[in-house]
Amino acid sequence: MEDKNNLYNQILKPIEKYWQYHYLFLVIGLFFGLKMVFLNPPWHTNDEDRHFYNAYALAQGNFAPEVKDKQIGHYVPTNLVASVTIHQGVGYQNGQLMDRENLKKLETQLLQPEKQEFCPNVSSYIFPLPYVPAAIMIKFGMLIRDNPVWIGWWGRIGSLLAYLLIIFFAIKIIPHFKGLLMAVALSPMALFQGASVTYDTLNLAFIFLLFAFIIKFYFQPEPLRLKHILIYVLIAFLHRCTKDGYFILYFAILCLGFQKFASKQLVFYTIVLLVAVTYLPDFFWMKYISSLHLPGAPMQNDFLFNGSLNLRYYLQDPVNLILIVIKNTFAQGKIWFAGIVGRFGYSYTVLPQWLVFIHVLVYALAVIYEKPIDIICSKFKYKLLVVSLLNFIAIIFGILIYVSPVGADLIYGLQGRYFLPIIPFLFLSLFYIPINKNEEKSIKFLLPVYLIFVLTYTIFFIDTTFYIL
Amino acid sequence: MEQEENNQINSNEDSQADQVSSTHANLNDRFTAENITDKNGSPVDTQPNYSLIEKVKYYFLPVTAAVLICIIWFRLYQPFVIDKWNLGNYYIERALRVKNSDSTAMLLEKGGSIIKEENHKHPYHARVWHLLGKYYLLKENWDSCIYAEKKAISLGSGGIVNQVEFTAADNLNQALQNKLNNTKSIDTALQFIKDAEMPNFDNFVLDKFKAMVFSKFKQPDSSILYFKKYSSIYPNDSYVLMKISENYVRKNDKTNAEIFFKKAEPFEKNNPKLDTLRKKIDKMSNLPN
Repeated sequence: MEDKNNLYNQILKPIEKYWQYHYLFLVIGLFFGLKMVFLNPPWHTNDEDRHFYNAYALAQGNFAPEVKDKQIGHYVPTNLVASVTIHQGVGYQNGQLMDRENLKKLETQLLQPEKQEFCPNVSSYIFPLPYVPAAIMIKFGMLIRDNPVWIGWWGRIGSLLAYLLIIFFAIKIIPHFKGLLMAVALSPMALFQGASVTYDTLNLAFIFLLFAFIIKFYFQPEPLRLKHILIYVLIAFLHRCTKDGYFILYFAILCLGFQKFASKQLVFYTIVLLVAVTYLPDFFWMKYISSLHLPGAPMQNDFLFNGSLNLRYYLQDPVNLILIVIKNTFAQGKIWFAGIVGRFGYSYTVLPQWLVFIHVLVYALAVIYEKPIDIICSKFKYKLLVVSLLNFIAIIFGILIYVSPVGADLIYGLQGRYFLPIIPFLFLSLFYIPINKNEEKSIKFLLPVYLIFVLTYTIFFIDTTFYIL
Repeated sequence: MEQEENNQINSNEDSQADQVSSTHANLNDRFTAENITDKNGSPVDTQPNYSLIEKVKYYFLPVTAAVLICIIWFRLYQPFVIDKWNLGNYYIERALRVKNSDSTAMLLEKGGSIIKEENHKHPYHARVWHLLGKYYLLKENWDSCIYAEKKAISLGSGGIVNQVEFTAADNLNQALQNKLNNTKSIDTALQFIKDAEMPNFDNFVLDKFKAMVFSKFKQPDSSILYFKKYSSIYPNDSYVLMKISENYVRKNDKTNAEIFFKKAEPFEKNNPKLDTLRKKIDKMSNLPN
């Protein structure tokens, strides 16, 4: 014990004041994030091609989709579409790999904005907000270098900067559990999403910021006032304009207890505002979209996907419905874990199992070793658990009802990364033990070192998985 | 004195539970930390005095969560989850791989009965209709196969991913071809093809079938018309190119027969029928009929 203290005093204490998690997050995130921007083959993140077209259209000032031949989409330069297309459907499973030489050749190709073609995109009607950072960077980046591959990279850089800045702020303001937030935000999967053109970038960033505010509010001695609530609701609003499916987490602020609010009236206002934030953005946006009378084209038509019919089907036998969810959780759970930590590209390449397991363990340890100077009361913990579990279950049910075919036993298309925003809430409420741990200081130093290791490995992994060596 | 203080804390526990500050939170849970100081700035005793119930209370969730994660991770309980229509398809696929004919028939029937049941339950799924069509194709029940695959195409056309209509059309065409092979009248054959047509789905193979029927019943002009129509979509189908050439031979049109022969030649170098066709063209007079 004494040796440990000596080691701490001699080596670690002098650098402690520079060893701030938010700065470390920024440095590590920027370094490895930029690595991922350029190393992840272009338009290779899940649905990145479609998200990119939305970002590009936004950069050109198009907020709503255009219509041609009963399809929705945007007009995009032909050689940009060609560049995106050749990077889709690469047969990695058949041993095909990316050739760096081909990529270099593409980097020399200039964008030809005068030659445009209509690019159908079924996702072109969604909220434009999540593409704002990518669109801004595309707009400015094109002034420096405007070839198709670089436009994709500019978009990724814009997303990455937004991701890093928002989470930097989140880690800065959160009084405790900085380690947990950093471990989740710098997990290979989260950073991979953060360094891609996708709505998940801001989805993750805003939810982590909400988490930071909840923990900050919990530990602040003063009661919650209107200004606190307005800040919180604004972030929830921004998140709601980014992606749906996580609105239950917005209500985690109520876990603080009504006594934490300055008045009962404020509790009421908070609930009303959160309900409004949950429903109104989608309501108004969809009203606007339906006013455009856009043709609807099904993404997948081999099965019938119909939420109300599916719900009616499952409710004929509610016990079976619950069994389906439980069975799927156990049957698919392991691959969901992989999705939480690192499952890359549309080829769904998974990081080695040992790394996934260790990283999940690190989430738990980051919570367990949080030094409980300020102990979290059980009531708050259990309420937070209920909220996060509700959202967790809602995602599973939502995917089963709305994304799986009517009457399916297997849940279709549920990826582990969908649970990523819930992880800080869930792991805090599950693994927090209010017992003093002296190892906290060394953990504080070990965690960033571990994250550097895991991200270095990830970079190596992506490099060797997708490219010809 | 200390006992009184503890009692007071306990009595206030509920009201204070949600108002946590750095000084009250630890008291709320009756734990102390090493660097917490009292009012005079002296360190507070770091030894927590929690009971067994409290230990259970605090360790219950982490331990339960860890156990659940381990069950999932190490697959200690892994139920077999599969959609019933896929289970039916699984048996059909197995039937194709098994060499024992009794087992093949048994597996095929097992798969077929599951798919029929699923089709009855979910008549709106194009994929299930397609699987039913696949079953009937293997059962050599051509009419039922064509009916099921037509349903699959009409329900499932137009998707961007996981398209079912093209594989359904393949099965339909296969069944139709088998049906046409046993047809002896041109009118019946053309009626079969007409019945297989669908208004909103371009099945170009039907043009090929029409051409083949006309060719079979020695009507080279109609045959060439439909073969050319098909060939405009699939220009590298060497079988069709050969058939066009053959029909021109039948018409005694050496020039065109030669043109289509040359188009087919690179693809069919090892085909003995090509030599026969060559000989037929060579025997023709040089002038078109």
